[in-house]
Amino acid sequence: MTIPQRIPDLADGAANKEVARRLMEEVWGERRLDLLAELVAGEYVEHAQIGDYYGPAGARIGVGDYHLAFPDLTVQVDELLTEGDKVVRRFTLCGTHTGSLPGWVPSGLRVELHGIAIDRIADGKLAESWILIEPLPSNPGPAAG
Amino acid sequence: MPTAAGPEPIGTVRSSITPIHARFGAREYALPSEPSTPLIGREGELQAASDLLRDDTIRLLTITGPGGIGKTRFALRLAHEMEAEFEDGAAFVSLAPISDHELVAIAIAQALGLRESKELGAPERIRLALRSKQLLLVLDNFEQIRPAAPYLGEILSWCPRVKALVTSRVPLHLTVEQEYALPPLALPPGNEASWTELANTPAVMLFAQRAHAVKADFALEQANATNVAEICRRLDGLPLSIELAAARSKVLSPSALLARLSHGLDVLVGGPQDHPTRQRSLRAAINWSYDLLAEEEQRLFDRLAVFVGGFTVDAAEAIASQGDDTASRSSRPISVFELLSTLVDSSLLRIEEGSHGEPRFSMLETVREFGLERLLAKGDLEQIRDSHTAFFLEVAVRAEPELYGSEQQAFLLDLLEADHGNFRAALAWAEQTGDADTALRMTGALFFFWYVRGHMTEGRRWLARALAMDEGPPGEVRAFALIGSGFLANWQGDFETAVPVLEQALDLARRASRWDQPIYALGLLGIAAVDAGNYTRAASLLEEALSLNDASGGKFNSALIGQLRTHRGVAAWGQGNLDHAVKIWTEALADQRARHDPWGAANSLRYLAMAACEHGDLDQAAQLQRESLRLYWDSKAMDDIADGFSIIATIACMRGEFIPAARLLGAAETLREEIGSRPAFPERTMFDRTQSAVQSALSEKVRATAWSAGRSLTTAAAVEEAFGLLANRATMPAESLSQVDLSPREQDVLRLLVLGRTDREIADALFISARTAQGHVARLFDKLGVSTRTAAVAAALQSDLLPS
Repeated sequence: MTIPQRIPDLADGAANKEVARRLMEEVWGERRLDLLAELVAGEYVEHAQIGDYYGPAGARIGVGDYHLAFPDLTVQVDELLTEGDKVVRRFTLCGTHTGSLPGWVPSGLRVELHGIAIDRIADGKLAESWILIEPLPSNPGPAAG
Repeated sequence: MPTAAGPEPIGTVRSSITPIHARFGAREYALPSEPSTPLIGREGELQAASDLLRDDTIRLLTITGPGGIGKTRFALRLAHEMEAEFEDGAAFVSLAPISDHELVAIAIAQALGLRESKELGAPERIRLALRSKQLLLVLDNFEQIRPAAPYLGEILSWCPRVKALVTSRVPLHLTVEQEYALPPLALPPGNEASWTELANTPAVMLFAQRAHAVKADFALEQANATNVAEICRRLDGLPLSIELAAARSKVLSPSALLARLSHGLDVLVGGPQDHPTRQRSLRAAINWSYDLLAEEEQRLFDRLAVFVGGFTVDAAEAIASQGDDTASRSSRPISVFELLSTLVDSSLLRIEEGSHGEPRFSMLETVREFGLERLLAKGDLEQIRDSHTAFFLEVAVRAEPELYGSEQQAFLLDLLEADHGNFRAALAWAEQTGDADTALRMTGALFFFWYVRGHMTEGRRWLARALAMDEGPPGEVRAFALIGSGFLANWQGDFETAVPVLEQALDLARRASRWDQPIYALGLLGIAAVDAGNYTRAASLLEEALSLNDASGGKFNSALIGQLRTHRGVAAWGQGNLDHAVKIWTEALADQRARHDPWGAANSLRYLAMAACEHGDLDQAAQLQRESLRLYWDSKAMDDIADGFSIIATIACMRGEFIPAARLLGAAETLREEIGSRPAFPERTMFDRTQSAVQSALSEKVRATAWSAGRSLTTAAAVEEAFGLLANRATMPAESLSQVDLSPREQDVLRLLVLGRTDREIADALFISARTAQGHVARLFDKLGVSTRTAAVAAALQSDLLPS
């Protein structure tokens, strides 16, 4: 019996990229925090610089920080790569730093921040992320942790 | 029963609901149960505080400390530990929902299950009920009613064996007060400490316990212990702050938590400088937790702060949707219940099970204050108070027609009770905004609840204030508030106030459209007329009420109609037509039995028993009264039981058994004092006759001994004695008792029996085992030819068995 071999990388890779793209453009960019329930798994873990964030609610806090800190935030996806169940996203955040961001007091400066993240996708949802976003320029650094 | 006096005009209330004052027996008071999570790291403090409570010279122990330090939880644990050392146990009064210090006595009386009457207001009821009790009285959240502190001092001076355990942010400054300042939880030692040392510090243990509760795989380990310890240090070891932070473990690892928290506290501790540091750090912790909420969660949280004493999901939904234009923005509308769950997970809300298993939410006072400030700052406070008031008006108005004997009755009454704090807040808001219509509607809808649940004085206060507000054209709204006012005044025996109010109500009701209002007004006026001895007027008022009900097809609350019939019978009796009265009561009884209204049936039975006494048919009287007492006892209708004792005393007296009669009259007196009732009219005439008969039949010494022995009986023992008396006709004639020969030990036992002592007390007094004491009592019964304690006592007192 010959069952056509499934080609996971191509089909799933495209779908996985789509998840990462929606996270950046819709959740981060369009502030659609309500979509996190759809895009992020219940057992999701985000490994950020200061520690881990859990589940859609944890992801909401992470994104929400930048929304509060940069009321005029724009998001650009620079690159998406995929391998196996992982997606690599490279992105740029632009905005005026008028709100408080953990570790940084508002500076009022217009900034451009580059970030990179690796996402693991399972069953069409983000299951785990490792994320690095460059620190804000000329700041006192994280207050603790 | 207060029947003739008007106090208890509704039957099924008592039969389907356990009255709040149904407390008797060995332990009258009970503490609320403790939360399922153990109290962590307070062993030393508990030891210190219980030593203070055991100190005979300390009458008042005030646990002080800032909001969030855990005073309530600590006091509850302490009370549970100390309860057994107080003969009458411990009672817990939550003062958090009370903001008016004048309501303090009422709140305490309600928590103790004490009812008010016209003669005895709440302070007097408390004095009488507690004067001989050895009780630990826990008063939680005293700070907002500090002007009431001198009143607490009075309670303590009236009641020499009562001790008070108070929680308050500040001391009360009473001379009898001992303050115990609850410290923060012990903090972990410095950074050099090993992780097991850290893990055994109370603050860290509390964090770990709470974190584990929200995230099952959270475990304290070497890798995160340092971070957790630092979190606890940053939060000054304040339990509420630690709890709020740990609750976030569901979404944040300890390192992320610490980083965010440190930042949040640095920003926020800058707050108002006039707050003590620890209070500022708590506010900062609350604020930090609040900032982590999503926008819609914050919006709901702010609004929830208007609730007083907790709320249901329905109530939260009602104020959540108010003026909401943002809800449609989200593609996936989030239900209020989901938002509430998030707030519970964040420890900003507590969830508990209501009396019927429904979820109820509440906020700690400290947290609630924060929410109210946000609401005020946003300028939304007035609008949300308006919707809060509108919602509770609707609750009251919708419940009202179902309160009279429907199947929903007990359930609805419990719901109204749970929201009493919200009704108070809503009424206060209606008064403040001059909204007379709301105040009148709400008080008119709530008066029956106030009546059943024993909040008479408070209900009358609100009604009087609502009625005083309205200067506009009178209508059925006003008529119902007037009926409520007259109803509660009637209950308290305050007929002078009730009658003019009810006449006004009748006048309005006859012109208004609500068919049931004239029946109410006529019926209540009829009850008042019975009490005034104005039987002819009573008969005609009650006849009219009953015929209006017939004309309506018998739609009026059948339990109340039963009461009106009973009073109609009393009026006939008063008019000298006992046969007509018996006919009315017999019909009422048949109807009450058919409707399974045991309390109503008990009322009819007692009147039929009194009629049998009047006819001299004592066997019949005993039989009827036995059933009546059993039904009252089953429904724990305590004031009716007191009247039942008086009727049984009358039967005993007519049989010539004066000593048992004197004992029961003593028991009735104690019970009436404890619950603050008085004999009804015209029973009073019959009871007065019994009392004089006892006085003239017995020497003063014998009467006084029997009376005071009866006074010291517990209600349960007195009921037992009353049943024994109704079952046993004969006592041994005094002459044959002179043949009885008692040993000195048996004489001792008999002396103690006369004093109303139990077997256990006899055993203790004579340094013998309870079993031996029982043996002595049984042999005594045998020698005296009696089968009850009463009969033994009667035999002893009627003979010279006890040389003085």
